[in-house]
Amino acid sequence: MIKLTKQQVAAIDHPGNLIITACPGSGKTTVISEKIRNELVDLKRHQGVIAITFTRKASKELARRCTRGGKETKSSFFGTIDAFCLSEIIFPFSKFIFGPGPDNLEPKFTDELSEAENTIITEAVNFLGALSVENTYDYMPVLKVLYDLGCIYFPSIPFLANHIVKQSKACRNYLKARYTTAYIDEYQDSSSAQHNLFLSLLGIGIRGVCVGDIQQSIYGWRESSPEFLKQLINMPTFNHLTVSVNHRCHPSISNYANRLFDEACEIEQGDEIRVYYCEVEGTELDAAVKLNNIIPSIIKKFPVKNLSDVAVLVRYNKGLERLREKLIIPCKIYTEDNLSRIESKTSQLWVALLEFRFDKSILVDDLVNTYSPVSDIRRDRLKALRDAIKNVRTVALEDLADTLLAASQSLLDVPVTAFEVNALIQIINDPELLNQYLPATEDQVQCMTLHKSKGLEFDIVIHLDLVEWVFPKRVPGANYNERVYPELEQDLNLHYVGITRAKNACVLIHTTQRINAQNAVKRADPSTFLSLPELDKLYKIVNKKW
Amino acid sequence: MEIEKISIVGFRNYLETTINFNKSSLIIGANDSGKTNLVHAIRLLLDKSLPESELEPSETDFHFEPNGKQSETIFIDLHFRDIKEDAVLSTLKGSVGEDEKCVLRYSAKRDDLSYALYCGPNRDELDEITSRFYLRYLNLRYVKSQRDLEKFISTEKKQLLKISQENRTEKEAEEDKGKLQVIEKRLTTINKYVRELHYVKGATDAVNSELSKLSHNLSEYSVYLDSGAIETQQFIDNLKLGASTAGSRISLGGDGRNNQILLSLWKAKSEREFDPESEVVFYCIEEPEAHLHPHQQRKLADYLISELPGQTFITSHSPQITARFSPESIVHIKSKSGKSYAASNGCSKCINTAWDKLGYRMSILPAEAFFAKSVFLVEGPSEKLFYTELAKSLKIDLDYYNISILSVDGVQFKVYTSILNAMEISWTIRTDNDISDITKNKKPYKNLAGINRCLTLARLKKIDHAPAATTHADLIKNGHWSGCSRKVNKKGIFLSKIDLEHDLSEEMPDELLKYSARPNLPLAIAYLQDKKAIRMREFLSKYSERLVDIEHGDIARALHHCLKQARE
Repeated sequence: MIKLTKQQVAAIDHPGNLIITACPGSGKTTVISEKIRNELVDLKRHQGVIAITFTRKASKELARRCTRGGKETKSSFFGTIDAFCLSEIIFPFSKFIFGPGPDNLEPKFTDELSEAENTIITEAVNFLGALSVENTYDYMPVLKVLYDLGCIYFPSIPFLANHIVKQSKACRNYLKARYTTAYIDEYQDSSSAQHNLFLSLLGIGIRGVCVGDIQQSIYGWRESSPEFLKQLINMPTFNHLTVSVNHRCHPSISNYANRLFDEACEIEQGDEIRVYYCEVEGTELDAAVKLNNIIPSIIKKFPVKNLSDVAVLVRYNKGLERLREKLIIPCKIYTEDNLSRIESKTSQLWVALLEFRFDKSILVDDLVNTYSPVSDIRRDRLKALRDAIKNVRTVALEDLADTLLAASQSLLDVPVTAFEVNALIQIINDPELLNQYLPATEDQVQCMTLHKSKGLEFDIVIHLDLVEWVFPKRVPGANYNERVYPELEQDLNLHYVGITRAKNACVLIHTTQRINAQNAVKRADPSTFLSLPELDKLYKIVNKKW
Repeated sequence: MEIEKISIVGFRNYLETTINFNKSSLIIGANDSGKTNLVHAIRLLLDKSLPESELEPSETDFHFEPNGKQSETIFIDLHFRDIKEDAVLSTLKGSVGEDEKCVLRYSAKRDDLSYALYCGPNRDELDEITSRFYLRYLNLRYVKSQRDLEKFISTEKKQLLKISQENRTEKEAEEDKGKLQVIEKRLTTINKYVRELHYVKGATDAVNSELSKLSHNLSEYSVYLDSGAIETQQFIDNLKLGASTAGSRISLGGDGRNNQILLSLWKAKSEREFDPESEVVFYCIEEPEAHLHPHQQRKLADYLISELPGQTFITSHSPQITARFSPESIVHIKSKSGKSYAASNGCSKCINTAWDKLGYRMSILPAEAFFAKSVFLVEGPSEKLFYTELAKSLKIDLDYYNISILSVDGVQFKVYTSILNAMEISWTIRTDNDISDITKNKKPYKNLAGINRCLTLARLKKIDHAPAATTHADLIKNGHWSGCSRKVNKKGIFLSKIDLEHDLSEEMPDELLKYSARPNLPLAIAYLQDKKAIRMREFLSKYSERLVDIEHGDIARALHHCLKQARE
């Protein structure tokens, strides 16, 4: 039995519309899952909650927590906002707006569009401008043309869903009949279309519970904004509770992190300081080499059970390349390869299948379920699908590409592009690239970008790239002295996220030199983040010169 | 949520038909007309107790036409409307349209005996579904005509006991626990005593002595009869449903009583299991009247209509039960040239205000008419007596041909004929040629009520009022009577020259005079009419053998016409 704090209990018990500001380490998933579990008790079998998370992985985890102890989730929906829009609104109800559609309506990423579809969209953008909340209505004829061709354009999903909710009584009746509350996580990364959809759900009479942290908004570059969370906080129909006790980080780490935003912030008293500034001579490449010694030295002071409890966080993907090149200590580099960079259902499936090949803990049905619920598939087809997937694990390397192609054909029924095939073959033929798909083991230090670290936690965090011009991003101003940081708020949030991943110790590394965009070696000053006001007593400087 | 209608194509009796339903629908029809097949069609889509294996069609499920051709496909579409219930909306999702309607379809192919299920907001937008997934929230409870109370009770008993256990208060549960312990102790004592009964022990003595003779190994071995150490739970499981009347216990009941018990049990069970907020349930009962006394049949019908919380479908052969339904809730299944269909496509609004004035409840006599192949409508009881006797004399077996003779007794013929038309039951009428006084523009006239009644029923133009002095004889002389008769007879409408008694005096003058002991015909007629039914009965009982003589007369023509309709 987990012991809940007073703040957590208040959030769980609150009966109305609610915004929960959940600070790092505050047990957000616990709060949401307990709240959902309590609500489900009184619901009928045909009712459920809507539980929206940012990633499929997070949905699975939340669903798992909610069903712990054999509890039923009844008719609830766990998934991402796009999955919700597609399965609960667009696929069932678009026919009442657009008329009867083709048999196979498919969501398509930009990379998957046919030439005809691409032309339609480009022309629409030229004529109407990019799809937005303001011009949604005008875009409907365009979306109808795509619909008649069997295409749902991914970026249009929340806009289309919102339109359908507003226009179709049958849709509203369905949502109201089935769902009692909508739980939305990571609301600080909501887009305006998603926000409007949420407001429409509230308008039908569904309760709203949002969880977010304005200070962890790091996806501003993707059309999301903490604006909408702020709007909700100001709405009279919403109550705002905070869960702020950080169970994860050592108090000195929380103190440091909180001071980043508020120089007058109260700090918890204590003796130990666990945040370290460490200067490393040389460039980022040298730092990567020196990490081979730095890491063991940190571990000596703060012993860990497994190397995987240590994380090295970089700002950009190219930092990961340097690590891959220079780190000798066993490590898992979480990077994007050509296949995952392609945004298409086929490439996503292949990535999942490659992971499946190497990770025995992934179940065949998990993969089948991602593409359509097992219960919807006829028995004969289900067997064929399962066999196609199982083969991926057993075939020899030389047959792997063909097997993957066969599997995606049966699961997706979507034509495969040469572009995708090339990316796949390139990976299969390169053992190092292929090994990226091996599941992480306990004895590998985990290396990833700051973005990727969101939601995770480690005993020790080593935060690189803290030099001027790099992080926060800086661009030349009108004159030499003017400092222009175009994404300061987002970068600060990112920095905050990185630091608050650490349980026991956080080491902030700055190098004396840096490699610039032209690949020249320049002198590097410590990042401005390291000299924010009132931080001085909250960190220790590592004396040893690296 | 209601079933609005069903359309059946190529399934068993039905080539292609649509049947509309009402909130409670009564389904009637001759034996083998297709009532049970209609029920089966609905069950395929909605009955949880029908296993998936029954969905597979067999060769004989495909409709056979008389020319030998057989249907290649079966379609059964159930149309629903007013879908508002959360549980159903939640489970059917986009299959419910903006108009709150939905269609479920079962289709089967003869070439490979395969079947498929579909669901969608209307007939043109159906998506295939892999199973009857909606049954959890939307289903039909069915009780068939062959009911086995014993079997039903043995399965339901355990459930009844279980539910009752769960519904006890804590105090009651504690008390029960105490009593159970007492029961256990006493059962142990009983077991002991039973074993010790001399004749129980003795029953096995003979066996044991022979055994010991058989083999040395068996000398220590013996068998005995034992109660088997009955446990409390077994004891309770073996409880039998008994009955008591005014406190004294009796054996369960005859078939009729059992029928009532079964239906109450069934209804109580479905109420228990039914959470109106989570489920939409339809009810279908075949022939609820089985073995029941007529008053009980009526009571049962009322019970089913008012107590069952969902839309109900009842099939019946009982006029008592039929009398409880208004005509617009009756589905009459007919069969013609090997094809079954519902008269007027099932439930339809054919009520007019005159019927409404009759009151909501029909009497028993009209209800019987719904089961007839042909109905002969006459003015009153004496006409009914007369024609029944006439039919017997002319060797026309009314029951054999499903003919009903009905006296309208003051209700307008039009009321009956409009309902019979809607039910597609053929009818013949014989009405009196009444003439009545009427004033128009302050001048006196005669209203040719009888003639105009016939013309209206035949959908022909009425005749204007006749001069005030017109008599019946005039109408015969001036050709109005024969003109009208000629036009309307072929439509089954027959007009007396005056009325039955007068017309009889023309065709059986001697018998009438002899019976009435009056000197002339007018007085004889008056005698008959003085106490209509009684005197007619007396007359008939004396002179029924003579009825044969008027076989080819005017009076009999209506009866012959009715017979002709019944034979079609």
